[in-house]
Amino acid sequence: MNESQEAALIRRCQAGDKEAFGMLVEQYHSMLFGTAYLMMRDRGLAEDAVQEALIQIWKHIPSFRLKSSIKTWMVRILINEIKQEFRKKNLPLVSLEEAPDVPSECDEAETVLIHNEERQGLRQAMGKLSSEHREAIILRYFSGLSVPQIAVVTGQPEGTVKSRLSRALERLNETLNRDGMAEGGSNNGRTKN
Amino acid sequence: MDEQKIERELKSFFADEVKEVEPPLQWWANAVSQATALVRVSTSWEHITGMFSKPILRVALPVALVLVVIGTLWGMGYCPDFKLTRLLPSPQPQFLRQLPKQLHHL
Repeated sequence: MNESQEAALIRRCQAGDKEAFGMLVEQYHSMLFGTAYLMMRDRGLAEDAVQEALIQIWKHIPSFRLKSSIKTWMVRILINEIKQEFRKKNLPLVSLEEAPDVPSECDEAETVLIHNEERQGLRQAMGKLSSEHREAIILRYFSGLSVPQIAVVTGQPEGTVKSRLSRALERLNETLNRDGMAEGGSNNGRTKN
Repeated sequence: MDEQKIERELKSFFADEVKEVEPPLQWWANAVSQATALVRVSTSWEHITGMFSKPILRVALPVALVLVVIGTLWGMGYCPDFKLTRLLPSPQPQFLRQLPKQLHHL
């Protein structure tokens, strides 16, 4: 969908067209749910946050200015909802290493093991990051936001976002190298078998 | 591990993590219909100004406003002359009429 098509869809939403809203959400639903899930590490909580965010998006879409990015605007609403959910339910920010592993769909046992080991390594490394660093990494590498967009979403200056991202990548690199997951993680899996 | 490799790994890691728990399309259909079923209560400035741009309000509001102003001015001019001087009797004449009687008692 190009920009003018998206703008037309937004205008229809602003006029109260529910079908257009469904089409607009369809464009971004994977990104919205994924962002919520990666931050909350709980499918139910992520669904609640996304549902609340959709209500807010629909309620406030008449005030959305077409000059700004709808994606950034939607993510900002979602991030606010996620933070509210955490406050409302008094939840601690779950580290990724504590989260349950999701079974893989790979067929071969060896591939599954290697894949899981790599993922476990990354999960552990992500779990060691602070919540701000993790948020920046998720918004950059999953949600696909640029540094200025992350700055808008998080309400932080661009310089802070840049330093958070580079610090987070540095820490991930350090952790992965220290734990041997970076270069030889998958080889370890093979030699064990 | 260089930065670009970590970035690639992260992208594929996140995509894998989310792919397996993503809700079905039916969930999205329900979520959208629930969100749009809510009564739209918007307090945004654009929404409020948009409401006043409706044709019926564009005529009715200024007329009502003019009537209120005229009514207020007329009322303000009407009350001091009529209510205070004609409707309410001045206590002075009655007081003066009773004054000799009171003086006689003394």
